[in-house]
Amino acid sequence: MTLALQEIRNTAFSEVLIHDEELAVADITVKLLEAEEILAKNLEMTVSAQNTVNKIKTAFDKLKDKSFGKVFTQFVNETEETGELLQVKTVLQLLETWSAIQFFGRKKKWYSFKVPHTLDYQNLVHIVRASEKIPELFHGTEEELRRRVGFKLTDDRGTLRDSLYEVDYCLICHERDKDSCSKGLHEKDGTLKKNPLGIKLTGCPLNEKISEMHLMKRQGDSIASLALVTIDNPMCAGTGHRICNDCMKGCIFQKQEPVNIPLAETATLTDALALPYGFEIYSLLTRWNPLNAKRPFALPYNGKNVLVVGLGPAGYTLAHYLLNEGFGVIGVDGLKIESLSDEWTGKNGKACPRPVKDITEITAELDERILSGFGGVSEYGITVRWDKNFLTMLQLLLTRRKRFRAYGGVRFGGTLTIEDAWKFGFDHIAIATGAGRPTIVKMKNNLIRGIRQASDFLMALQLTGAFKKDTLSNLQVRLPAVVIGGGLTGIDTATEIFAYYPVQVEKMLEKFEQITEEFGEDKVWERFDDEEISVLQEFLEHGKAIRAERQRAEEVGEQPNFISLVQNWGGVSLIYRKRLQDSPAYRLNHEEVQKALEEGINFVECMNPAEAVPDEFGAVQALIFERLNYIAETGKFENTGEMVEFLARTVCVAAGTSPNVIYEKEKPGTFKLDEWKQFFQPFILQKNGDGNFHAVETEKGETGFFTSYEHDGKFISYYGDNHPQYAGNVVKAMASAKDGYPKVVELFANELAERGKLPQVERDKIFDNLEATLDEQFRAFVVKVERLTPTIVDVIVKAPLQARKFEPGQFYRLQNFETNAPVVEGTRLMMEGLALTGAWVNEEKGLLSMIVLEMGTSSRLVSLLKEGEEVLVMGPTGTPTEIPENETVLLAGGGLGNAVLFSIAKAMRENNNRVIYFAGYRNGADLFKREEIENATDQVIWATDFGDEIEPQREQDAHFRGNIVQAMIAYAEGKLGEQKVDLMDVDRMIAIGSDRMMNAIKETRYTSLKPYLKEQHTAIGSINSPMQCMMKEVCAQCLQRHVNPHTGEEFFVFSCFNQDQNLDFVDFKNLNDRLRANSIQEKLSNLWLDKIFNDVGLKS
Amino acid sequence: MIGISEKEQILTTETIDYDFDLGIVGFKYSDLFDAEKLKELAEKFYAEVEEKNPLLHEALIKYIENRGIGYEQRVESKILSTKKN
Repeated sequence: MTLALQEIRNTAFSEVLIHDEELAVADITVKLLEAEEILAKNLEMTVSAQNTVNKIKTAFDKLKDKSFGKVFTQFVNETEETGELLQVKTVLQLLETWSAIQFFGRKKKWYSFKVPHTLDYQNLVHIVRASEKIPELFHGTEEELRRRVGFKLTDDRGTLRDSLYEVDYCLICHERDKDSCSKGLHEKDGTLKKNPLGIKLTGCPLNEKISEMHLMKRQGDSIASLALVTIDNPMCAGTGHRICNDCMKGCIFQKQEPVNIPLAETATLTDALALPYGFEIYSLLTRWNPLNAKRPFALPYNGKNVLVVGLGPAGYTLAHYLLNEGFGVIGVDGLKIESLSDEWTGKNGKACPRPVKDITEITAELDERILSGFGGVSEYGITVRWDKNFLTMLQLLLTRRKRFRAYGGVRFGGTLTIEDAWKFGFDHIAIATGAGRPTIVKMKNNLIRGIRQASDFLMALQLTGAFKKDTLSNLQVRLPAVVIGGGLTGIDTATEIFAYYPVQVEKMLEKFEQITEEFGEDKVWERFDDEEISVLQEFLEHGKAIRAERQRAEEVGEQPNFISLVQNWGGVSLIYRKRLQDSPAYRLNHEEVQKALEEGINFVECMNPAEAVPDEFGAVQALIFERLNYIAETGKFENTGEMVEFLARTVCVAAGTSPNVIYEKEKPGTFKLDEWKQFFQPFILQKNGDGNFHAVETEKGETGFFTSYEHDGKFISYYGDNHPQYAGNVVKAMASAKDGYPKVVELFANELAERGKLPQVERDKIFDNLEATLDEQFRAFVVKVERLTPTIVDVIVKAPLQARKFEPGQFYRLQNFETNAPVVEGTRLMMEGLALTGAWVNEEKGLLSMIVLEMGTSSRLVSLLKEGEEVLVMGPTGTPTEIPENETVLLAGGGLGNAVLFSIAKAMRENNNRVIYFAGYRNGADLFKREEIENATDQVIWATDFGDEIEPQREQDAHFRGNIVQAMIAYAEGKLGEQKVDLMDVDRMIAIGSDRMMNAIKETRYTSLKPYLKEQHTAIGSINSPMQCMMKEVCAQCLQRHVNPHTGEEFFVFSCFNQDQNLDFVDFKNLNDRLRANSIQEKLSNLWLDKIFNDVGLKS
Repeated sequence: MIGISEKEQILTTETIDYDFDLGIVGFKYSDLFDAEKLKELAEKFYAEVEEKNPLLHEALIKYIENRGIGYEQRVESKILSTKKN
């Protein structure tokens, strides 16, 4: 039968041979059906139908002795027709019979033969339980394993046929008012139905016209389809496939697989984008859509300006809506945002932009794409399962708007306060700062080296760019890896560790080979300690295995298989305290669980973390969990007391987050929080007797978009993950913007009506002036890079607002821009975020000095910054050091710590404190800013370990050869001459230096120094934890373990929230360990940088 | 409108290297970034609908004028998904 079909296809219908088999058969069938209809109904013969008939005749003549001829003869006898109709029907009979055989044989995975499978909600993913010892452990099926190589887009979002199948499968039930995918599935009483997993079937958070979209698409009109999408979902580039599935959950098909709407929606956009000028068509539909009754075309600028805080999905969507309403919008984000080129943006909307004819002009492979930072969590929190070029498109279509500007590196509450915003002339503030503080899971030895929060890992991987071949970012992971959690973040973290490990070890091997060739193996190995040597050997061995597999695969022309390698090295396991079916990932996004299992991860259920087991070097080597038992009758889990150990060299914790309400934490009393102190309390605005709006707390169940803030007629609204009714996913965040923006418009309705007569040119000036001011205030440019010592550099930037906001003790995140970073020998010299303390500021000139100790790759790149180069200076962040009054203060600065202490000492003196200063250096040649120190102190004791001594310039000062603690003891013992300050008078001690130096001070206060100090003195250390985002309680890299010395209670603090920590509480061993989390990579990168500097004659 | 439009400002501040005719009489690419011209373009669209399908035009204009408020979803869908020709 198959042969017969092939013969007729090849002989009579050779024009279909360019198609795949499914389409070819379909094409032939359509032709035959057309001919059959005409002949059966005696209609006028068409040319194509006649051709079909002729082809059959010719084919039969040629093939009568072959398989086709035999089958044809057999079917002719079974067909009750005559003439041409008989011939056509006979071939159709052949096709029908062959199709039936294929359908029941299930041999061909064709859409033509696809039957939607029924849904078994308890078994939505395919798993294999393979461990007798640990029955809770399972993985995906062997045949479904999918080879992934690196960080290119892992899901091409399907073919046209995939999407057309979904469109065809859709019942187009809006015509019967049933489109629950859009409106939700309701009970008879109007309440929302729940599926068997207990998930409310809300439908699309945006109420997108899905069924209508499919109808248009079915008619072959992609642009009409997209036009209907953009009515409710103008930022649809940020939604769709692998982003949100609320629509699928609400699909009318509840007992069989739902229509894959997100795939179809993304295909609608993709098809339009693929047209010539497709991006321009989509972009236009966001500004002009004559079918959009609420806003058919964007309004001219109305003279009102809104500050949108946070440029994630809620923020950028809100910006879009407000722009179309005529508002000017300034978006700020704490993350770095890379600029798009002037020609594409038309100089931020000031000129005609270069039209995008072909979408590939603005897209790139994901592993090569500039990490823009625009889109917040969509950039760093979502994996390469989703095409992040969509973020570039969103950034571009907004940046082309004349009354929109985005500024990165502006921290709300640090760089910019509410009061600043009003002073700049903003009329409203909208907060869309997303999720914040990650939940810390309790377990013994928590946060020992090797344990991170998932947000820390994902941000380092996807925003700092560790996954890219051409970056110097350090992110060290070892296998086996365990991710604790059961949500989508846990799933993503597990798959990304799995994919990152091969990239990491191959990158390290390459660097190692380059530097050993340059410096010789011995010189390289001597940089590493025993622990690092053994781990590096492991990395190199794995790197070679990856390289060999890559070569093998290339030789045989297939995709490399890293799955078995990574699994053999321990693999990656996601461990959750409940059953798989209870996990948020399964209940909300089982498709993602399935995809993750296909990448090779393990899942272990019913395990509660109890303890991290350190190795002899203090790094995590295993995790111990307590097995939990599920009680079916109650649905609860009980402790069993059985402990199960899992080897784990890397642990990431993904146990959820809380909304980012950090502003209220920093400036208590600004906003009212809800009863759980989690979200902002929702308010609505109502007019009372004075005719003005006032914030009124919402009734229970009522939706409010305003915070409690009300001052001088100004209000602050909030959206996205900040909002209790919209927290949870990207599309809900967008929905908050869609539902909330009319409230902001309403707030200004009267004013706008009155200002309607203001000439447009006058209105335009309002925005232009604001933009010019913010350009001047927010952006940072290098003024000078000055070398102070062989290893210390002073970088002076012009950053007026950042400088004005500085208070002693605070610090900044300095970064260069990827788009400006030089590329040397294939590597982009891009800095990771450096935490740098302000040394001094000149508010009048807007200057800020930051002093850098060149000890890692990023810090060494500072010296390469060019005068006039734009950089990112995010901050100030941290907390101002407490400056008491009329106290005696001892400052102890080690090395670079002295840079921090200038401003603190100065402020202390200005507040009538006596200041004794111990300034420690390894070598006297390291001294810098001597006069600044002397001017701010009553007495200085210079301590040097070796090299040049520091000759005191003032009578009261002294030099001591030895470390800073020894200097303090010598001073206390009266061995250094005049004691301007009796240490017994010291009320407060502030130590800033290396962790070892601060720990030594902490401990010596209870031993050698104890007799000389008053018992009740305050001792503070400025803690230099590893840091990344520095936005306060977001990425959680800076978590610092504290132990209350009185009670033994353990707790964790975010050092970027408050760097000044009670010395007695800080676990310095933990700090020291965590500072070494990436030590091998840092050393390799440093050596590689030495090589680069040698090769190209650069000087650090 | 009083004062100069956004479009006029663009023209006065920059040389338009990238501009081109859209193929719709009276409209250039740069007009797609000008609020006044977008309004004009919408009017042109509605006029074209009127010419090709007066009944649809009447329904669409009413729907737009009412900002879609008060429309049954089935009616709204019908208006939005009916072809103009």
